[in-house]
Amino acid sequence: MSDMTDRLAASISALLSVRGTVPGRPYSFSDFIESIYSRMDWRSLLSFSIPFSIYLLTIAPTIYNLDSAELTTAAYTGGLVRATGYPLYLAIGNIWSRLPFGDVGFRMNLFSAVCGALTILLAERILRRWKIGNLATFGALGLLATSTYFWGLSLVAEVYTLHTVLMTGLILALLRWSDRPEPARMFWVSLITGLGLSHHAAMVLLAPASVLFVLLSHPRELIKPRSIAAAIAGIMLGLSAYIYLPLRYLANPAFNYAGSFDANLIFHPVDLTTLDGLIWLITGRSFSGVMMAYQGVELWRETQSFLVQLGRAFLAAGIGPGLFGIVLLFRRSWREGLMLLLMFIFNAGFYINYRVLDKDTMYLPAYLAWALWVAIGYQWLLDWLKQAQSGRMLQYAQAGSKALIVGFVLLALVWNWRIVDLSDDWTTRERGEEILQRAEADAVIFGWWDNVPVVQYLQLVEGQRTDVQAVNRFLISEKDFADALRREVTDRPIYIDGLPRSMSARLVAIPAGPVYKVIPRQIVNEVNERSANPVSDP
Amino acid sequence: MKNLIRITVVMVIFLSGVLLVPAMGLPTQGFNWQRYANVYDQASLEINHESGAPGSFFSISGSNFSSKTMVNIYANGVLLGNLETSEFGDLLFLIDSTGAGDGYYLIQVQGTETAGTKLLVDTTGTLWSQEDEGTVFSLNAPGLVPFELLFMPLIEQ
Repeated sequence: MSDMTDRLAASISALLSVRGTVPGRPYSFSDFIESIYSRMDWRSLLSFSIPFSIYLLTIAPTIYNLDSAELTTAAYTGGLVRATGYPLYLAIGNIWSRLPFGDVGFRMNLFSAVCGALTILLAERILRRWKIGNLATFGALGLLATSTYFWGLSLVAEVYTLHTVLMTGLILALLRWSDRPEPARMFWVSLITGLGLSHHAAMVLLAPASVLFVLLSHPRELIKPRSIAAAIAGIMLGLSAYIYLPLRYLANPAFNYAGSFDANLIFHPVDLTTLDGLIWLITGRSFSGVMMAYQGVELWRETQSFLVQLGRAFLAAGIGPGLFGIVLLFRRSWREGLMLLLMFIFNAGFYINYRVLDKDTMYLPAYLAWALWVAIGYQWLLDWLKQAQSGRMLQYAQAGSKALIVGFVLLALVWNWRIVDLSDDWTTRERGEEILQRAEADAVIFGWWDNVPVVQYLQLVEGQRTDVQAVNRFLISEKDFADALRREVTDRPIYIDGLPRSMSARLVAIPAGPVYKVIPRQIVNEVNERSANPVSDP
Repeated sequence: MKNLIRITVVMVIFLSGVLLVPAMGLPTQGFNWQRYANVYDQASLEINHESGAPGSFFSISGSNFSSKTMVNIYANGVLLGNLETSEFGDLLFLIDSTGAGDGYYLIQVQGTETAGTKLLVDTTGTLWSQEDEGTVFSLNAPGLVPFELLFMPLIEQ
């Protein structure tokens, strides 16, 4: 039996071109294990596995609410989401959501966890290129991985951690190209840029820094035909993910948020086979009103809010080393320093000036840049202490610095765990199931993001209550909504998450679980006149 | 001495951010959907009776406020107190008009969002008893003077 395992080990080793540790001695199974062990890149392995393990312990066990429910349902059913379309996410999600474990909601949550851990792994590769040691890397990336929003958004289906994967991939590809500006490396830079643009429009915010870095590093390479061809091929290949949108439009998907309902509750999809339709979706024109939305005092207040958010993300401990790291990276390579600073400024600047409620979730690229600076700051501080003359006090200081770096990560882990942990969060599923259980046959449910996408997930992914029609109020104009409500209330059971005040003269909303059942006020008045126990009007 | 300076500089850089903790605080909330629920509609207040005799209790319910946030309750610009909104951005409180003078009272709730409603205290009106349970705020507060007349645009604001 032992011979067999040794022979098998020798065969595998031959295939992997692994040599025995002692010349002349027969290759044994323990040699095989030892050689694999010695070739293992432990730093990379731990950079992925530690955050991934933490995310697995705290991940949401099933479908999550708001955008998560929308993205999950669209990914699994081959549907379409609102602007900016996220075709790369939907295409990958369509395959990923077929994994044979957990429910579909959990699988897509897991995708975010994998992307979160992959971001940390790629960031580690960047820091390795900058010759940052293990402890500084652990300290900086540990703070990033356990920061409330990076951690939290690695636990539910969302687009942001895939975006940070592509951002770290882009920085890595740019650094590799800068070291050796070959067309093949330019291909990777442009491919990742194209994929990034196919995923999230915010990739545009990285473009000025990337272009400037390329121009400042090796401008002559850009006029070489082979480099130009590689760049065009890469970006075209990356952008080809956009084909997913018209293809899915042609399939007439059951879940479609690229369009609108009319007053008869008929859905009119935007034609994504036309250039106009595609541009409408991918440019996020429907959100243009909330871009560059602040001025003066309001803008300053939003900036302050971001700075506080940034400080909290790094548990305040990362502020000093991060600021120091900005300067140090400029001293080390002003081109790389400028690239990272511009990526940070464009991302933070755009979202500071973006008038949406959930913009706290959109700062991950800025946090990522900051974590890289923290690592550089940490490394310099450790090196500086090491270079000093020896002495007992210095030894204590060195040990103290190392303890602080590790301690801050552990503190962030413990402090934020209770804040972000979703491992027992079934609230979204319970809410959706209660809405459907209470809904009468053939009902219409009007609601916003916290009610409708989860109902649609239960219907389209799990086959529950397909007789019910769920309409997201985001997809119907105020006027059409009012008309539809007035007309349908006499024909079908109607449920709503909040009755507009303008309707309260004609309609009454009676609590029905997480939503309200809408009935004509006239009926309430008639019942009250006939009954000793009047129906209350909430 | 050189070592001491070096150690001091390193520790200052390491711990400079920590000194800001009292000003900025540590993370208190992460990403959870309840924070963003009910944010799509305008915050609003509903009152159970628009007018009543002095001594009446008025129930005021609010919806579409930010969840789990403290809001201040004002009557004609005078602070009556504060309370916390529910997980879903709702709130309910009562106004006790015992000892209040006749006239209009503009009730405002100010938190992340602001909403208002009005009530009329009128000695010739109906005396409404307490219909709900919740925090009670009294209109008989120092400096609180009823308005004799409210212009509609002001009420709407």
